[in-house]
Formats: sequence, C-alpha cells, structure tokens
Amino acid sequence: MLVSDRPESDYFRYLQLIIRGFREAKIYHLKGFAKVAKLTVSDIKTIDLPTDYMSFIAVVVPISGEYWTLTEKDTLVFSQSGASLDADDEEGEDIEDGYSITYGATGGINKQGYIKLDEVNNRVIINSLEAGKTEVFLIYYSSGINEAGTDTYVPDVIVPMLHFYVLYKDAIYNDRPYEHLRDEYYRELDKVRYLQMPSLDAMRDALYEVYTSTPQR
Amino acid sequence: MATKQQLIDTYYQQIRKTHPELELHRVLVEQNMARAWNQILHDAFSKNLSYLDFYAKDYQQQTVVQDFTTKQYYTTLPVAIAQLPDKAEGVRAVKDGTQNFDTPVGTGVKFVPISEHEMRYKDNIDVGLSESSIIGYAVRYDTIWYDRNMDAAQAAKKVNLELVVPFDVFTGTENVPVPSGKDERLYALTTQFILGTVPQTQ
Repeated sequence: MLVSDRPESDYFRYLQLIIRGFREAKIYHLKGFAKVAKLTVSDIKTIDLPTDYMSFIAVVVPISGEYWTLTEKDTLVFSQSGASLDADDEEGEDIEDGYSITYGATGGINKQGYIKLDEVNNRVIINSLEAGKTEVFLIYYSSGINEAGTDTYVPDVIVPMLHFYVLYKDAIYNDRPYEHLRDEYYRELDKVRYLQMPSLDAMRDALYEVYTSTPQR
Repeated sequence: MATKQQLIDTYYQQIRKTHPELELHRVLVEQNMARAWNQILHDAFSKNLSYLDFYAKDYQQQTVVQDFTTKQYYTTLPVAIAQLPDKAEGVRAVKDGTQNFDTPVGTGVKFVPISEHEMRYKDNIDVGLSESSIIGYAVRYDTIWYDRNMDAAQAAKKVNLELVVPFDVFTGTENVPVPSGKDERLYALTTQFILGTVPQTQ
C-alpha cells in the first residue's frame, strides 16, 4: 500500500492476492514447503487437517530417531456419524494382521498402523496404532499461510515478486492492460528462482554420487 | 485558515459588490456554501483520497456496541460525515481507543475500510481466516459496522475516529480547512449554486 499509493479501501483485496501469490510461490518456486505437525488422535480415531494444509505427504510415527510411515489403506472402517464409533459396524476396529517372522513369511504388514485419507471431511482416519500411542506426525505440503494469531513469515527476497504478482493479477481481474506487469512479475520471479538454485556444493555432491572406483568405459 | 464565520462574512462582502441586487439570508448562504465545500472536496481529492487526512476532525473515545439481534459490533457516528467516492466515505480513520505510541498500546490493531458485501465474502476465504488483528469496517448512513474480528475485549477499548465532516457541522468559530488555492472556487461555486447556474466541473 505504501509504495503503490493505493487507497486503504483496497487493503483486503490486495491482502487476498498477496496470500495467493505467496501460496503459489511456496508450491512452485520456494524450497522447504513440507511441514510437520504433531497431532493428537481423536476419540473416533481421526486427526484434523491443519488450516494451512494443501496436500498430503505422509502420516508417521517416530521410531529410534526416524520417522516410520503409516500405510494408506482404503478399506478401513471409520465412523459414519463423525461423532462416535459404532462397535456393531466395527468402526475403528484394529485390523487383525496375523504375522510371523519365520522363514517364508511375507511382508506388507505395518505394525505401526494404517491411515485413510479423508480430505473431503478435512481429516485423516487412523487405525491400528501401537497400544498406548495417542499422537502421530502429519507431514504435508503447507500453503505457508498460518491461521489467525500465528505469524506468517515471508522471505524478503520474494517481496518484489509478490508486489508485481498483486499488480498483475489486479489488472487482470479489473480488465486493465496487464502485459507489462506480467513481464515485470516474471522478471522478479527469475531472480527468486536464481536464488533457489542448488548450491555449488550440492551440485558437486550430485556429480560425485555417480562416480565409482570401477573403470569407466 | 479562516473560521466558518469569516468565510461567510467575506462571501457577503464579495456578493454585495458583484451582485448588489441580491438580498441573501445567511442560512441560504451557509447551505449553498456547504454544497460548494462538498463539491470542492470531491473535485480536489477524488483521484487520491489519502490527502484528505488533513481535513479530518478528531472524535475520540466513541463507544462500540453490539447489535442485540445480529451480534455485530457498531459505532454510531457522532456527527454527519461528508460523502466521498470511497468505501470509507468521510471516515478517514478508525483507531483503537487506547492507542498510545509510548507504551505502546493499541498500535497492533489496524482498522481498514471495506464494503459490506466484501465483509460477507471474506469470512471464509484466506484473508478472513489468516488475519485477526485487522478489523474491517463498513460505513452505512450514520453507522460504522465492524467485521467479525471485532470482539468484546476490543470493543471495550472504544475507538477514536477521524471524520471529514460537512461544512454545516463546523461551528461559527471553528477553522474550516478550505484546500489551498480553492478559496476563490468556494465563493464562485457558492454563487453558482445560489443563482441556480450549473457549476463547471474542473
């Protein structure tokens, strides 16, 4: 608002465009947009998706310093009422995974638990968690936009890009010439992408990874 | 800057020289000068309303109350305001009633003008969900309506208002801030309104 000298009554409209621009930057242009949230499993064996959730990566539990992924299983029986578990319909019943560790036994059994993604109802259904466990970790793509009361940090390097994103989209939505603003936006975007490139060390490591001591022919 | 009384007296002096045949009642002059003043504000600032801040008067510690039925918070305007081509109309600023830059208190909350239909739409989209320290306000007739970010705690702090008021709200001894270079225009427009001629737009 300060640099464009636009009226204060445009504030919310611009704020909405800024949020969209920031989300787009988080999805396509910035590194490190996966987020981990520690969530408590509800009485009906679900976890609610956070407000900044965009798409799913995994539900995990910590074991010996590493995250262990719970397996997605679409056949889980879950609460139909959304308020309680109906025992008659076996809602929330743990899966009976018989297993053995003898010679010839097959794998594919997850002793840490299973999940079923239910994005339409803004939740993930959890099943067969290890006894005593009440918390899981959700790894997800975040919009980067935190809910009210929590600060959202915007890297300084993307601010000029966001300004032109707003002006560019504002021109489109209001039927004004936008081509010069689109060009400026992509110019600023190129600068951001340049900064997001892998470091020299990372590229050197990538090169070394394909080297072996065996003779190359 | 001249007081309202001085502006009207000066106008009388001028009109007697240019139109000696007219016998004008003071109320008629005041009413038409009020129309002229509105016109000048509109012409001078319609391109950039931020310069209007200078012309706003302070009205501090105004009560914020909750509508009994809808539970929406509102403030009744203490005086009439100038109508301007902007969502905020003549309400140039709403501030936290406890605002103090030394402490600092009340500086974290921001009031932003918004139309009523925007207020309805924004609640369930990002802009409404991600921000609670920015309170939207819509001006309708003699009331300022606040969006859902206004709560009982914030309402208890009251609000300070900066209002651009019509000419007739000023008392005779109050200075009326006529935009610089527009004094002659004020008199010319007042005469045009009195005589019923169509004012020329700038």
